[in-house]
Amino acid sequence: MAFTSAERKEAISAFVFISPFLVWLVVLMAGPIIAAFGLSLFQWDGLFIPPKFIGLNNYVQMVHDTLFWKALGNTFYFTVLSVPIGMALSIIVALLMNQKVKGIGFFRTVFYLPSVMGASVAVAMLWKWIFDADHGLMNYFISVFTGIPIKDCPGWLASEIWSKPALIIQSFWGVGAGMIIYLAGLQGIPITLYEAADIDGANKWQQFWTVTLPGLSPVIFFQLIIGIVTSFQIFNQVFIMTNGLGGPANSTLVMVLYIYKKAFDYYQMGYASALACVLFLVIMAVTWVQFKYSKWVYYEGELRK
Amino acid sequence: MRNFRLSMLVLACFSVISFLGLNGCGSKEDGTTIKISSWGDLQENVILVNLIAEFEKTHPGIHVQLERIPFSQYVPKLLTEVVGGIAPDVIFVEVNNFTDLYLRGALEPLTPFMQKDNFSLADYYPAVVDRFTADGNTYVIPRDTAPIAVIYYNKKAFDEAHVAYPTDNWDWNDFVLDAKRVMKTDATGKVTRWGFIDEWPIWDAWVYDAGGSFADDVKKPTKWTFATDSNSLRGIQFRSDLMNKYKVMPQPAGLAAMGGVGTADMFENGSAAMYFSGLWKVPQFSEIKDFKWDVAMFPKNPEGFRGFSTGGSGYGILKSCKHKQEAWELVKYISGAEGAQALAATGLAQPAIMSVANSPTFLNGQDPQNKKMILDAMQYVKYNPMCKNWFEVHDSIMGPELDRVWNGTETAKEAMQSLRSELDKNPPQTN
Repeated sequence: MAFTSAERKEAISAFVFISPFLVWLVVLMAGPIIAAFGLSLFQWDGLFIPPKFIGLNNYVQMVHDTLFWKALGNTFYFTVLSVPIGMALSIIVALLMNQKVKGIGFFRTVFYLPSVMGASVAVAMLWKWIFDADHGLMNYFISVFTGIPIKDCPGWLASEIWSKPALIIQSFWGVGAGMIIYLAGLQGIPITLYEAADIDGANKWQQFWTVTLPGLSPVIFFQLIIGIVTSFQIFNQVFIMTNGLGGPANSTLVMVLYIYKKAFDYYQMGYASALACVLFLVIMAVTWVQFKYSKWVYYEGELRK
Repeated sequence: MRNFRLSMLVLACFSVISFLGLNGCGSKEDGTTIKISSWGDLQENVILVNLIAEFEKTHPGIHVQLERIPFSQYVPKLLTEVVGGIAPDVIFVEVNNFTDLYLRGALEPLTPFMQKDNFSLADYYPAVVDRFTADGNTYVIPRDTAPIAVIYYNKKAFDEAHVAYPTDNWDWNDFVLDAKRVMKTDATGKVTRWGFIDEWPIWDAWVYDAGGSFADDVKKPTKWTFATDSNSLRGIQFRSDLMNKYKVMPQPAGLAAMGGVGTADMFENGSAAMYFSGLWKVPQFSEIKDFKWDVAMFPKNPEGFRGFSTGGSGYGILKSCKHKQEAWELVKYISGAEGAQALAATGLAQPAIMSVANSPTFLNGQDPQNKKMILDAMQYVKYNPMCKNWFEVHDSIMGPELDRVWNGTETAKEAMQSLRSELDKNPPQTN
């Protein structure tokens, strides 16, 4: 297949434009990733002794490592609840923000604002206070609205049962970021589809299920993948809110925190690399499954087979 | 992205390790440069800077380069420097990270140098010297020792409750009684002043104090005894009782509750009448204006036995150092009596040299009045088992299980039972 000179020109400029990212990817990312896979076959505890090749022993050790399973379980618990609920909230807020009312720009800004601060240390500190069992806003509101005395409210970060729900609730701080993307998606759905549905006699609810949701599905799919990938890598919030411990009783020990502790607190670089590789494979597998079962995603202009 | 960043770091380490050996200690044409790294607050740093200036004057041809690193980043930075081939020659070592460095073969034995120079450690606290000795070699010359044995008490709180000040001779029962009596609650039953609080969960002290143990041997541990030792269990249960039975100490939940403030703030603002830590809190508490305070020794158990862990630090030489003789000269100089005197005068830490610790310079310097207590405390200090995975087992296995005991959802006995199999799976690693 021959390229016309225009096509070639276009290809060249495309590569020029993406070259900074490519260089970054290959030099700073691909190399270390490959090195981490290599390192996962070594025992390297601390840096004074050269690494020792031990084959797949790190992976065998993992099978018997109680804390690894605990960390993996905690990570799944967090992901399974925070991603779908967070997405549903984002869509609801996006639908509200898509109404034609006066001052909507203001509301959009207000809902997006928290995301500007993202998953920063300051935000995690703030939430640590909110979840404070005796003096926190969370229990204050629960107490005001339900009449439950504060001392009977959840202990949140101090409680083995409530610490993960606390992290999940905290993750909804970022719904604004999702909202913006859904909002863009909503505005990309052609108005003519709604008009046609109207003429066919569909009510608002039916329109939502048959026009809005299918129209949004590519965005939902994108958000689902990104959401799961990032929530598998949750770290900052946990590190700050639990003082780097993942407590109480390891109830908030998530995978990346465990990797961090193994590498930088306990100097087991090889084992930490192996853990990182396993996390990588888990995320790959979950993403692959999502692509495999992505028939529900509707792309405009694509013919249903 | 985090795991990518991690792997990046790992690669960085990996690639630079090959350069190890190419660079050693820096060496100037007109002499030798010795790099020393240390942590500590400004006052401590000034002492070191002065000592180094003196040293350079009396040792022409040796140039000393001091690097001050915050304590929280000290070991990570040290490791990075080692990997990067720019490791210091002389390092400041603390009793716990000593284990990590020694077991990884990073430290140079100092005994040959000591023998050559007839350098004696006879006037140093034997317990500290022993800690820094392994396989018949001394690896670190001690600078200070820091028994974690100090109960700071608020005199005003004791006066208000008409309770006599604690003496060093008190035991657990006296302690609980006092703690109960100095508690204060408001009209709604909410506690406004707790009896007792510790700087961090210092539960090890109760284990040692009860006569309990962590491993079969401190120097060469082969198995954990913590979960099978009935005295360890008793110590853990007692600390839990302080929170859940006697309610003189806030639960971890209540602690987070004080608005996330450090526990030292609770002592300073009067919301905890007794505070457990080491002597290093003295400079901070000297700022307190609202009340007078003093110190008492950590209480003994009802049978009269005592024990608590300890900090402390000293100077060692990294094996990678290229100019060991010069490095030794420096170590000898800065850990001698002159430095100890200067340290004693600041009151920041208890010098490891006994005659200096017993001198008026240290004892009559500043508050607290009962400072002499810390000298007596030295006979009861215990050190953590020397194995590579001590912190991991302590912080990631024992600690999390005990969280349940502090929260009152488990008894010490239940926790010990569930710890047994996990501890057996992770025996002490000594090589």
